[in-house]
Amino acid sequence: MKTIKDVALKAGVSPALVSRVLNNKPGVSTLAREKIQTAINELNYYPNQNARALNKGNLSAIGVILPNIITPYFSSIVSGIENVTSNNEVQIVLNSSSFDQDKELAALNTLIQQRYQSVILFSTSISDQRIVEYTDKVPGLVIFDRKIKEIEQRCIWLDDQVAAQLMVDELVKFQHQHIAILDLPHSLLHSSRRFSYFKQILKARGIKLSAGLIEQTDGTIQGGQDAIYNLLASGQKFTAVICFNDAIAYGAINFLQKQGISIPQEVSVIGFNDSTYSKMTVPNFHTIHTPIKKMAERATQLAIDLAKKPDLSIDKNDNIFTPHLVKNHSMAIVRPDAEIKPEFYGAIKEYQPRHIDNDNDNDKV
Amino acid sequence: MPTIKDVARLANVSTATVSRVVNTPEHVTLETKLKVQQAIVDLKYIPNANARQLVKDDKVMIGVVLSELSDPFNATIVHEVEHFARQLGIQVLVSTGCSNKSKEIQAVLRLQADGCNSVIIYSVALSDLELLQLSKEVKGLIVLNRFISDIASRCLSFDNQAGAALATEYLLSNGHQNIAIVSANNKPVDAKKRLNGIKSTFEKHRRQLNQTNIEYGESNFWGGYSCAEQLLKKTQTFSAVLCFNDSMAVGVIAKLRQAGICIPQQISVVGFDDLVIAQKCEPPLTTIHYPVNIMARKAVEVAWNIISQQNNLNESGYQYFPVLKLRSSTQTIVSPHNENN
Repeated sequence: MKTIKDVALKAGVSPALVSRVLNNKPGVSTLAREKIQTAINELNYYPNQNARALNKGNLSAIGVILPNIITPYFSSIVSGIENVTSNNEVQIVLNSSSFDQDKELAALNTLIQQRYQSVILFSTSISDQRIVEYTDKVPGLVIFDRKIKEIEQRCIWLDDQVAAQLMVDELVKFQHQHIAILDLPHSLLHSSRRFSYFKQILKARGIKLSAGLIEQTDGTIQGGQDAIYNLLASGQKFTAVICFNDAIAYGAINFLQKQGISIPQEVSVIGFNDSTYSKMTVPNFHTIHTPIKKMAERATQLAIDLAKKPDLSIDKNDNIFTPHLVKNHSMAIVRPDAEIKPEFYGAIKEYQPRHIDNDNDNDKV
Repeated sequence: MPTIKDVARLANVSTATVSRVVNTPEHVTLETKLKVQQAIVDLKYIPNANARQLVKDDKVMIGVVLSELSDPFNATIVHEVEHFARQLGIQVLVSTGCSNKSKEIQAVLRLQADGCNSVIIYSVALSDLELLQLSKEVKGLIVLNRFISDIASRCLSFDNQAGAALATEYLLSNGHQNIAIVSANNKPVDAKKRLNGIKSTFEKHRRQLNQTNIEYGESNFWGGYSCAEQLLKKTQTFSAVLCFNDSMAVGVIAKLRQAGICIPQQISVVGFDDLVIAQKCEPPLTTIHYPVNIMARKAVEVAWNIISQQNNLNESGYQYFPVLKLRSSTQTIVSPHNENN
């Protein structure tokens, strides 16, 4: 990017003179003014507001780094950020990183170059150490949905253990023993955390988890459909399906219902996130409410506050958010003699699960 | 960084010829010009020395300014712009104008100050004239969803009115006598155009568009859901609901299904945009296809064209037209009258 120095060099004058012209101050000869204006035009120079705020840094904007803004989870984060910034006259500048570490780092570097003092970062791949180093360069750096011990006061995260507990409690309440799991890709940090807590707690309650009933999905509606198809086709018995996001649950329920399987009478389902998908099925499905929007609001306020006062004292308990169960109508006790009837297997043989297309990640997470 | 020699080699001409194509194209035969221009595009060669320096020194960045970032349609624009920008090695910065005139302007200026060589804006609040004025301050401004004749070559527009007319025509021609409309109260420019399309089609069929059959809400799932709640309270029955967009349509379907209504057997529902959800929802949604991906690609191409100072934009701008995507959320009403035909 062109600076005043470049303009000065091209016009053959001092940077101080260029500055006077830019600020419309007197004391510049017509000839010099013309030379400077020509140089400005040729270099396509525009005054960098950020550079002007060099001493104070950039307080009126917040940098945001998210993998995307199109899936319900990240869309909720952006919504929460917008809630706070629109009240505060703070502008959002967003970078999408597509879960790519290089893009995340490039985005961070751009924001640092532009002296952004408040940044919200969602990254699953940058190491803890590296993130801690960045806190020196960005006083208002806040990390979303990840707990880094050394900088806990800057981390906003969800209590996944409570989430797992809620799901297991519900399964126990409705006496389910044969549980299928439709999981998110494990490249997502919170997904492996969530799943390992879930396994632990199930084990503690004495419920066996069969490996054959665990399907990993790509986190999309289609992924949910394909996974439940695989499970039905395998002929294994299951009476409940745990889905680690609502899109997966939506896909699974639609497919089950199309096969004539009734929810919850024959199969119970729990989703995750409490997004609009849970209201799109009949009946609406049970889900875990994750207060993503509130977390994002907290993250934004914290990022702004930390930028103004880097030594702000923070109660890290304010940064932990607790999920709760949304009791819709997709859970029931399954009759002991109930089993998904074999005649459905014939019908589903017609179905072709599609091949995973990495570009089609529009409804992941 | 490709050089003039690389272009010459690819086009199988001399460097002098390449130079002529760039500087004095009127002295070159059409065949040669096309060959060389294709090579320039393929290699991403930047003819202008200043522009070359820009790309060499800095990461090329383009900005995108939208209203709410949490809106699925806007999120799709961002997704598609990034997809194509990534292929050209361009970084994308996104900001929001919060549906407010001065904030939209501030957002554009900030992105420019942050180093964006071009800014794409989908404005909700600014008038055509205000956008024209902004384009004077922001040389690389590209406008989505408007046609502004003075800066036509930087405008990409979609015929919203024709899109709504297409959807209305489909319903009216398929036996739907009583149609409810679900419109958006937070997208004034687009909502007006779409309502105009609906109105003009009604008039064409010599029918009256009754204001009481129009419900307004926010252009999202819950907006659609609450509009459907209102529609269910009415005494007037309707056979179809025409929605401002897919997000609202999905909300309408959710509420209607909750109320025990079968879609499309009892009520048909039509959306607008053809976002991914339209294909994946149950039942799959009949909608108007808005070619966001094609427009995003073109917007990025135009941005690159401006940044690399190639100056061969289409003077009349870029216009896109609607297509009706028929899926399972609608059906024809067979009335005794129709059967006799």
